[in-house]
Amino acid sequence: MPIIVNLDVVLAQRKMRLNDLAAAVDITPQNLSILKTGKAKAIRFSTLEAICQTLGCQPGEILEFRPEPDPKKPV
Amino acid sequence: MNANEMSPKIGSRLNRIKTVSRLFRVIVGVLVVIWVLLAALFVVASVKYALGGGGPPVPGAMQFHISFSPHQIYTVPFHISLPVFLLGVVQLFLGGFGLILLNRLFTLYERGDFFKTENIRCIKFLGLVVVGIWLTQTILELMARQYNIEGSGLVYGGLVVFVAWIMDEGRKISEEQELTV
Repeated sequence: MPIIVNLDVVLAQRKMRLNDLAAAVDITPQNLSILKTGKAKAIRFSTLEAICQTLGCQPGEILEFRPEPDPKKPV
Repeated sequence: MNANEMSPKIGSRLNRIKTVSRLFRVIVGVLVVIWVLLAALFVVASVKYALGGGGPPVPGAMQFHISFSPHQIYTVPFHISLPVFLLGVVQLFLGGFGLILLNRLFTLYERGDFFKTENIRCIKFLGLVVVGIWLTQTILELMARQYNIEGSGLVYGGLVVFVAWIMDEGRKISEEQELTV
């Protein structure tokens, strides 16, 4: 998927642990881990809002769009 | 009790499913062994017949009667043409593949996997096997000039494939909901 989740990077920059963030945004660490590892298929605005508020960042810092190379196009 | 712990009721249900699945897996396993023996007998006897020149049956020689349907009983290896033999082989292998799929499905149930991708694939292929057996059976009956063709195999097989498709779509929806944070 071309949407990359950079939650681990932002967490490292803020020197915050996943469990602490989970407690702060009231989400189970398992669910937050799904988001961190890029397995998540969707994220609710309310979750994104809570994460951004806790980490003091913009959604764009957490989510990144990296287009996949088109296999049909020659390099 | 937290959400990850299993209630005693669920535990006993799972155990019941596992016990019944094990029983069915063993039964299907025995059927697979019988199928292998039958298939080997069918092929070896037919090859022996072909190598012998395909002449008329020797009086008193052993003959194997294999029934693919209540309407038709084939005497193997004698008195069958090559296309009928090949269709019989295809049908035999489809039946065996179906048994192997059933065995795999019961193994998954025994393991506690109920709505995984592999279960759904097994069910879908079982439906396709039923359709395949119906198709070969129909061709065999047409070749034997029996025109009272039944469509039940096609309907049942198609229904199984349809149910498997619904299950797969449901699994995708459930997975998407599970992976929404």
